[in-house]
Amino acid sequence: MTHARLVRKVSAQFTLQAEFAMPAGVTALAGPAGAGKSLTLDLIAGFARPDAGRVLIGDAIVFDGETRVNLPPQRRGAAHVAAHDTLFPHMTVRENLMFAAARWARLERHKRVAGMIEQFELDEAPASRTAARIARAILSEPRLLLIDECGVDEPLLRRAMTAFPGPILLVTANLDLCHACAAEVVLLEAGRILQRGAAREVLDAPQSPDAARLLGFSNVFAATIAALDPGRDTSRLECENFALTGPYLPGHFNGDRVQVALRPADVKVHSGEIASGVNFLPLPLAAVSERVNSARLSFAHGVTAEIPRGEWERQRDNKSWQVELPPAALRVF
Amino acid sequence: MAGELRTLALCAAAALILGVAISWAVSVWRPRRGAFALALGVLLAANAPAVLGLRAPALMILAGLPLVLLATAPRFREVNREYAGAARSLGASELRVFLRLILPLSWGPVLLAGVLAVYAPLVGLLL
Repeated sequence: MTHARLVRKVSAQFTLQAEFAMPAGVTALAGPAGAGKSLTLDLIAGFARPDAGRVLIGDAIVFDGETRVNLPPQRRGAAHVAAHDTLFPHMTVRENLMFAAARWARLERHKRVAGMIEQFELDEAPASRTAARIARAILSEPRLLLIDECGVDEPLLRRAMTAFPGPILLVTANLDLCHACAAEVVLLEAGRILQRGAAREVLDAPQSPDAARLLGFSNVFAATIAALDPGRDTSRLECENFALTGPYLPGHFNGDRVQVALRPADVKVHSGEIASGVNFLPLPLAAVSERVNSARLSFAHGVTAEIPRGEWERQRDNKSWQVELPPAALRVF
Repeated sequence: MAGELRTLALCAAAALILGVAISWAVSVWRPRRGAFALALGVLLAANAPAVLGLRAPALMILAGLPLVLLATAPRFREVNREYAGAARSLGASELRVFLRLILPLSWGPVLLAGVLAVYAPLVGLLL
């Protein structure tokens, strides 16, 4: 089992307090800048000392606040890939890998390094330096791989997962990468865990307004439950400026205060002239941000929609607008 | 004079080795910056009599030591911060980190430290 419970006071305003397990596969540590993600990695790697808590790596206790166990980084078996380039600058990529494979006899060392260079398609080009650092970390046969935000993309992460079957703790702000590769997600903000669990569950079903905002659900509205209809599997939600039809909410009562969130990409926009349907809201368009692949439309009352560029080109001359918030896309908590 | 020069060379070598060792220890164990600065200040004050021409070997070592620290400690600290963490997490021992990483990346400052370790007591000798 690989598990971390960490408490570390950094300043009067900021205390990191986190507990999570790292099963085999990728555990993604997501959150905004300054959330304590890199600090978490440093504490697990042994570069900094937690004030309290316990860190288990592959069933071995490497830190325990109560019994004052605190193994140095060398003996933790946690290979750390930092956010900045840490390839030793006076060595070639091959020599860097050799450094990590030092424990084996010469022949075996050369074989392992050559295998790794082939597997990760490494050369001396700057573009492969991140891959080289990950390969170097895996070569040392760690029990846990710690990867800080260092420009890992999906192909590289997949290679790392093939080459290293153990747990990988990955710091990233890239939600697509989390969704594609991670088994678990730990969502961190201001030193606290907002939410953790199976990656797709966390990414798809935030449980708090803060988590929703971090996960890209930029439409968050406070609402009151006006009606619940288990027969038709629907509910009626009164927001400040409009009313919505939502999914049935088991475990809630009429009059409950809840939050409704949905992704901008799930919001549909229509011309004001067509017939309205469920959850169609006539709203004036406030601002448009045209991006590479999409257009982000900001409507009144803080409703944001993100539609494909083609769709935007088709609709940009609309005289009036209505937005559709599909009931199935609403997340209520 | 020849005997004095030999003493001086030996003292410079001792100051260099001792200074590099202390710099290494300081970079690895990272005492508070204030504590290191204070110790350095005391050492610098203590080397005044050595620079002023007292020729006991201990004083000659003392003359070069703070200059060696000044020349090497910042670079050691920087290499330690940038690269040593990665090396340690790969399982490299502190000695290996020093010999394969810190020292090869700090030849410039170490060379300068060597020059200073000779220069400081030499000033005293010539005065």
